[in-house]
Amino acid sequence: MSANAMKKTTVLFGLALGASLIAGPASAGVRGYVDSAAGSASFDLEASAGYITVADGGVIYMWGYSVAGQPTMQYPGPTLIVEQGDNVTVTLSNCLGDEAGAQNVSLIIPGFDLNATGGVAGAITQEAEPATGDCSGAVPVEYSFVAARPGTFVYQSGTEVDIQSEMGLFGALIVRPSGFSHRAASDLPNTSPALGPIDDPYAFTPAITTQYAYRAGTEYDYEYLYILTDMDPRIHALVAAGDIEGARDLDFEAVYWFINGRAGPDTFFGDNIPWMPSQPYGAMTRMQPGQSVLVRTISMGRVLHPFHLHGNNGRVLAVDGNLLSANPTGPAELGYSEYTLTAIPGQTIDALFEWSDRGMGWDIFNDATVHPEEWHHPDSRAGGVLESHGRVIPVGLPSLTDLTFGGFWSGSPYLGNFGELPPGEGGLNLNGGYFFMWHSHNEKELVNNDIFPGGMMTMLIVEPFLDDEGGLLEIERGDVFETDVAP
Amino acid sequence: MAKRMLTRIVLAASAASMLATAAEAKSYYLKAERFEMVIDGETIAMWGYAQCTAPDVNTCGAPSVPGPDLWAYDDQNMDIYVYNDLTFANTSSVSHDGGATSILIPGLPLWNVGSVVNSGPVFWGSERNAPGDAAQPPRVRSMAHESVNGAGWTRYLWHKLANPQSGTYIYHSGTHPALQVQMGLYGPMTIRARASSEAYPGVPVDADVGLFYSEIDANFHADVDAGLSGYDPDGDPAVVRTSPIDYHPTHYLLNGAPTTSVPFSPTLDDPLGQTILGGAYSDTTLVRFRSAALTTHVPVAANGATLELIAETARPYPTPRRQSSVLLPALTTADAILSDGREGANVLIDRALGYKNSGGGTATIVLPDTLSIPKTSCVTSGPATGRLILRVRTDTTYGSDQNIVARISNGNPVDDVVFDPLPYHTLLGSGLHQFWRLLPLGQSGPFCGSGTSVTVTSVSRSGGSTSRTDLIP
Repeated sequence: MSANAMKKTTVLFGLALGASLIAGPASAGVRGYVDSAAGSASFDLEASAGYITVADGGVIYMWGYSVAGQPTMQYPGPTLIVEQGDNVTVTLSNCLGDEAGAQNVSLIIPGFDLNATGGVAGAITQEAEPATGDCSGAVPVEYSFVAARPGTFVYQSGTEVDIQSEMGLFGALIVRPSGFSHRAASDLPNTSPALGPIDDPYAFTPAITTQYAYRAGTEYDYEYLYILTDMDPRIHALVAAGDIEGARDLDFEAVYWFINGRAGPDTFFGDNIPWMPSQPYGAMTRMQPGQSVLVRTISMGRVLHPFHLHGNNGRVLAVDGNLLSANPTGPAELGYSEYTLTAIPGQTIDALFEWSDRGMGWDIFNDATVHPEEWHHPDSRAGGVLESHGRVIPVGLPSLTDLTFGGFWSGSPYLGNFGELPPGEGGLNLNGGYFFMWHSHNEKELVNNDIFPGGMMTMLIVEPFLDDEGGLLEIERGDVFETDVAP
Repeated sequence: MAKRMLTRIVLAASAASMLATAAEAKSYYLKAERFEMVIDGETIAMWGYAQCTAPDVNTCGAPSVPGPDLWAYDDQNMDIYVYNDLTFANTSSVSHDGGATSILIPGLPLWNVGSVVNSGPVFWGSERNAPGDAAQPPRVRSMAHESVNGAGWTRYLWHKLANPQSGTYIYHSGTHPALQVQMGLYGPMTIRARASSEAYPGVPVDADVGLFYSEIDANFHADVDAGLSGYDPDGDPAVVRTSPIDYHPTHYLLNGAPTTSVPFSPTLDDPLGQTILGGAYSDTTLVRFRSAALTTHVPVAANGATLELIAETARPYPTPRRQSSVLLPALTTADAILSDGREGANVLIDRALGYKNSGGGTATIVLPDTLSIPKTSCVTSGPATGRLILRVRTDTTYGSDQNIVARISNGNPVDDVVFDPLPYHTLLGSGLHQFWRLLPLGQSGPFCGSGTSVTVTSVSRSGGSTSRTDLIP
């Protein structure tokens, strides 16, 4: 079988299996709710009870937020995306009234001082009392604030925080900076027929875009959200039975770990898959060489998690929505580089992640005759200090009999290439991309209740520039992931 | 109240000097002893420090966890004298630590006292893991020289040349610390700049508050108290607690108060509990975070305030770190300016979420509007809960052991409240001194309702031959 025929076969096989395991293209971005009204944003949220599923077959009782009208609560709550300077109003209704452990709920956002009206006074803020039945009797509480500064934030209940955080009452708030605009998926600069669909990905100079996290100097190509949590399901069972104090008396011992409310490998699925209605957000990460990913992490577990980025270091830009800078303009010059982000409970971290073939020493695109040298990092081009262009891997590749395989192995070490695979191997790598696991570096958190692999784990795929047919491989981005709450 | 005030004035008058000077050494007397805390009806054996006013155990106050708030100026020598009175419930049992304890302050090296090598270590003798095993080389028991049970006062010296660094510290037992610190032998230590109001170089503050996080494993305490702890040369290791390796906290403390209720209701007996008075809203308030817990805590400002982190373990950052959250691992300190806060209550939730015995773990720092003296204030709901926030500005230096007397009147009767200003002292610019205090009011209410109010009619400095009023309105 020729390599090309093998490639076709693999793709077909991959499509068949991947349809059930990977819906990657649908999850490449931060999916959330926006309000297109100028200068303001209003969201109606409900708190209610529901269930999530875990990849080991577990079903767990949860409390969560949802946008009013959604059929079920979600874990985590809906991601809210607003613009800097917006007058934001969140109206919260509490639909927990029929639950045995029903409590008041509320909303706080560390980093913003919310003005709360309605409901009843709580320890930290105004709280919504639980309503029963179809929740039509709910007395909502209105929380309002000015989203004065950009960044990644977390909204959460400010009531019985120990129980309600564990039960799932939190979600992400993203504040876009002033002057922000998405760079559309098709907005790839410098396309030149003479050099192929993509001329020079490294000429994606940040200065030409206003797609930045905080301000000029913090531009990115793709953005992804990672909400990291841990869970002791015994607490959920006790809360379901109404035994709040019993839940508190437990020695917390997590056996499940999640990214965006899903335990691996469910994190690989796309957003809004129909069989996980309460866990709408995937965590599969995709990019192309030379591009950058804005990694928005929010830690909402009880303990620290070392979130490990394979492939390269990330450069931390901001903590709790505070840019690491002592200057009024420019990049986060106080940022620092880490291969493992220390995710601290209650904290948010924004980091920029880049991947390129710099320093590889061999040509990741395999054949110099079919791609321009501008596909390489400038240092890897002909004459560069770490020239890789046109160089094959300088060792003999092992034979198939000396290899073990996984679903993500394309059969070729070259990006966008496929090679021979034994029957039944591979098939989950549709474009011949490079897979890097992003996961908790606390390896015991890579299980679902003692079943490996799973837990706090997802994948980064470095995709080639061209798809199987030689056409431009576009990874979706921009506002296609945003749903306007104001129809 | 009057009698107590007189007592304190007499004590103050006996102080050597009205004005603190650079030559003056700071001396503290701490008695380490067993006592009992009752949390949610459960009696828990603790080891704690009691502060004494002289090297005489008859002058000691009640022990507490954390221990008393100790402080010194950055140019002072400091002595801490420790009296070891640690016991067990079963008093016939012998301390497996050789009846020893000690004290140390991470970040502030101990100085030798005469020929005594202060910084230790002290070793166990040779020992065997089990009968028949070969003896092992000696193992370290204490990081500092020991204060032996029943052997009187033991001196620990910090020389100014060794500790010039102002900042936020923790003192704790240096003997078998895995056991003794968990039992409660820890407390807050603060080194203050004498010449300025700077918490750290270049960081002036108007007021500072402390949040001290700690935990209790009640089962561990019960075992230790029963004598089932430390090295037992003949015993079965399975029934002897050699360390808190099997640690499961059952109670969480904030400034020594169990986090047992939501919302927290500060009381007269616990004025520095979960509700804590910061500086005025317009002032700069420093929060000194400390933890002697074995698990990590993460205070997070819930109402929009920013914690501008300026130092960690008493060493300043080159650049402040603005965050909403503070990572507070075991036996560390962190300092943060509470900025962008609310006028009024600013809540910090503990995101480590280990509440166990409560729904709490929440601290509230109140930043009142700017007060002046005299201050007219309508105080909450009656004499039992009446409290008054008082800030005094003076142009006079206060020496150690001098008291401020606030005369509070709601017409009739008159009530004097006396407090030691120094722990609450900050130096403002232009030679102004400032004191903050949350004053528990006496029983002469009501302080609110029926048109009555409280007026502070005078604030006096006592000590020396006369009292005088040094008010800058």
